[in-house]
Amino acid sequence: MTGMQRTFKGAALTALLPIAIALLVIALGDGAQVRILSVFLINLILVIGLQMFMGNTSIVNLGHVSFMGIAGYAAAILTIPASIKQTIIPEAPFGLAAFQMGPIEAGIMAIILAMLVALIVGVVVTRESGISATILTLALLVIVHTVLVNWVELTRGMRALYGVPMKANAWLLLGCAVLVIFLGRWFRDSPLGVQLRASGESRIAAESAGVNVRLVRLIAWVLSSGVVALGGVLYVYLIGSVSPKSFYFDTTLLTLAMLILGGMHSISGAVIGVIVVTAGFEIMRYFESSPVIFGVKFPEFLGLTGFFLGLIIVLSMALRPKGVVGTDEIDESWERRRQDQSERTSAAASRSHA
Amino acid sequence: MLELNSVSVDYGAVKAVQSVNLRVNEGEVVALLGPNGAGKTSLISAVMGIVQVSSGNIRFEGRDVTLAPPEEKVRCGIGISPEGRRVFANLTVAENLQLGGSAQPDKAIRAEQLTKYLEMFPILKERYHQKAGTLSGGEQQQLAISRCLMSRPRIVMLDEPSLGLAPVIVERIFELIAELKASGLTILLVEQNANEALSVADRAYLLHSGRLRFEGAAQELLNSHDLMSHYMGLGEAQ
Amino acid sequence: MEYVVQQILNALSIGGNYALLALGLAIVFSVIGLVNFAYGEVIAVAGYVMFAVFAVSGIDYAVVLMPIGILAAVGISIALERVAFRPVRYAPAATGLLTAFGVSIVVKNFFVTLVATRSKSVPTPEWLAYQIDIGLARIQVIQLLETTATAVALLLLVLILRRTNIGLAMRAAARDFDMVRMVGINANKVIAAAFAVSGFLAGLAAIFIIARRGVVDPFMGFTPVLKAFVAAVLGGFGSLGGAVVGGFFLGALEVFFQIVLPPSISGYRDAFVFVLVSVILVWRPEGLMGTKRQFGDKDE
Repeated sequence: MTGMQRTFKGAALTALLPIAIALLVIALGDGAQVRILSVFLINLILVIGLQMFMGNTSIVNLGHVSFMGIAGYAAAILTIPASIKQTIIPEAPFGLAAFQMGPIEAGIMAIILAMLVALIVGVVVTRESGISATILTLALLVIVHTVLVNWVELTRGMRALYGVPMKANAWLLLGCAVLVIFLGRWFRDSPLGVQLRASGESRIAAESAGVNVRLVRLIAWVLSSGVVALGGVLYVYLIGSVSPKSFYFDTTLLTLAMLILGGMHSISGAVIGVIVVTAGFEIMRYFESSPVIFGVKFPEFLGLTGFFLGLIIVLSMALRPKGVVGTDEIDESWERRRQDQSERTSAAASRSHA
Repeated sequence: MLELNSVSVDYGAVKAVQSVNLRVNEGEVVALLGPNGAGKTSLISAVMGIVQVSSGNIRFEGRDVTLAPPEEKVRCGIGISPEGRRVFANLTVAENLQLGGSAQPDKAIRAEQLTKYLEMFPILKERYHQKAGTLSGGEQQQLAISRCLMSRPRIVMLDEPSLGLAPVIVERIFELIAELKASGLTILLVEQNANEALSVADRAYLLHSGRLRFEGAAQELLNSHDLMSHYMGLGEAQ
Repeated sequence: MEYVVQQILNALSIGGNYALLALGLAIVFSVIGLVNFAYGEVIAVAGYVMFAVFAVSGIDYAVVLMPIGILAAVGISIALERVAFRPVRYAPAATGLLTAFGVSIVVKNFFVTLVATRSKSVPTPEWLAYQIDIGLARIQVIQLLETTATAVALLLLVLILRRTNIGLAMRAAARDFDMVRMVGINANKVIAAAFAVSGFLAGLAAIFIIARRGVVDPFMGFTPVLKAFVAAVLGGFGSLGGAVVGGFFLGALEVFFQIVLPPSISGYRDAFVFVLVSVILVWRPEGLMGTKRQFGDKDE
């Protein structure tokens, strides 16, 4: 099996579970459940986007949600009908208040914009390593949030921008998510991804082997930001409105927790993480809203989902810092196990022969 | 007094030390020799508990201390002057010495030790309130040695005390080691500088690629040109 | 003239608060390399314990509540080290950072679940807001207390770090933790001491933060920890003197921005501050006035 085939097969295998879940929910679920599914698929895109930089470089990225915000706002501002914009952001600069675009063109423009910003920011971020780089991404998060909140003429500040055409449905989201799974896996297995992971383990070793660490990191950073931006655009098209609080610490930490829990070094880890956390969240949310179980009415437990999220992070850091899946992709681990097994059986066979 | 029984140390797949047996008796100076990368410092770090022993055990005065953390080993009476000196550069000489005495609960003994070693190392008295980072290499080495003696250990391990020092200072350091020996201290001396080390040692071990290649009287090793040239890379002229 | 003096006094009292907070972050970072983002929750715990004591017993004397708040902060700081940070002590810095975020979320939501999302009021004595005339300017009692308390705390800390064995050990551990253990000092004790000092500073800062706000809420630690973090980076992370300087610098900077920036862009203050943080991190990692050391690097 060639490398490309293995990558393709692995990605297909990884995509199987999300596809199955999605088909099941679309076929049998009610409106609310389809909505949960849609958010799940968007989180899948965000987390794989995050994985493409963080998982391959081992640099914790706290700023990825900024690109979700930039792209989300860009797509919203470009697609909201001019008639609505005249009332909610009449003062918008660059004549944007009188201007509107189709959702596909707007989405592409938004992603390109986010990637351009990522390119500029990335030149600075990739200069640094480890915790310094992480702090720069944190600064990015705060700066972008501050701008979104304060550029009132363009973003309407803390208040939501509404009127975005709600063009995203579960099928579109599923298609994009599967595409992103393939993209992420392809990137991870590509020569660039391999170099990147080597540089994550030891920057000096990778550099002495002739890898231009800053350049490969920059490429990963921009690509990763592009995928996160896609997630942002789809999110806006799903919800129909945007406000800055969707693009701050809550989303950052949620997506981080998903990735870490699953295992940040692999795409399968990202997928498993999103599935587990989403499931856990829905269960917690049920308890939060004072459910009645066996005739007993439970009190309202606001904050339970948050508590659960924090606990996931703390426990997985302490007990399984490499995540549920570990360092390798699921299919890689299976492959290895099978090889071990066949070696063992052949060894046993030769022993019995003797 | 100190006893290592088939001690091994691994760093992942790399076997740094393999099944080493080593013994230091009370009052002895034992030299542990070997070229760069032989595993000497790994072995010492394992004795201190800074790196984990992957198999074997370490006994000190009959007690099994294999798994004891470094602080406990120091409290039992093992002192170390590590490779590269590792003085606390941001602290003064006085503060370095004070920390060195942490493991000694008796205040009177600490004061006694301080007077004793300031006398033995007069340069430290001179530089008493200077930051240790401003000291020269030889001065830092003297500080590192006296720091570990402050707690009045029963055995000291001196890891490469002559490394990176000018020849005249190296000579001074070995004089000091001889003085410490004369005062009855038990010493495990780790060195690349074989001739100097063997001249003060009673017994010697030779470590190469993580394995012991020789064990015996220091004089015997000093006379064995074959072993010395083969493992220590010393020239024919030796 | 009066205006200038007034603003300088403001900057001093805000800066003093930031200095305490930054120092608390820096001392833990210098000893074990942990960026403790759960530090804000230590402040919140101090506040909630004071609130709980007041709500249960009705005691509203500041002299009783304040020490209780500080003790609570010290206690929770040590407890968090034991429960959450010890398992990741030898892990990479990123692991510790994420653990800290996790702890922060847990504690916040603990208050949301058990108390309420809404803020709860804590009694603050009226006399804190009294104004005192000091010739050139008027100063509030709270500002005076805050500046004094900061000065005393800093002095105390300097004494501990210079005169006590555990203080020396903390300074030494900032450079070479293993060597500290190899002179026979218990690693757990040094780390616990660092967390205790950190908690004490957070508790002290918390008292003034709460005295100003008059209320506690689950999210009250967020802004202070961010400020502390910025101040610590400005001072060169891990440098204790730098943290103090960074704190006062940030205080001065904020007052300066408030005076200089027109209202239309004053909202961007945080963005300016974080741009400055990035610039310093990239081009002057040793901080505004630090010695040449890479960010977070330990000496060999």
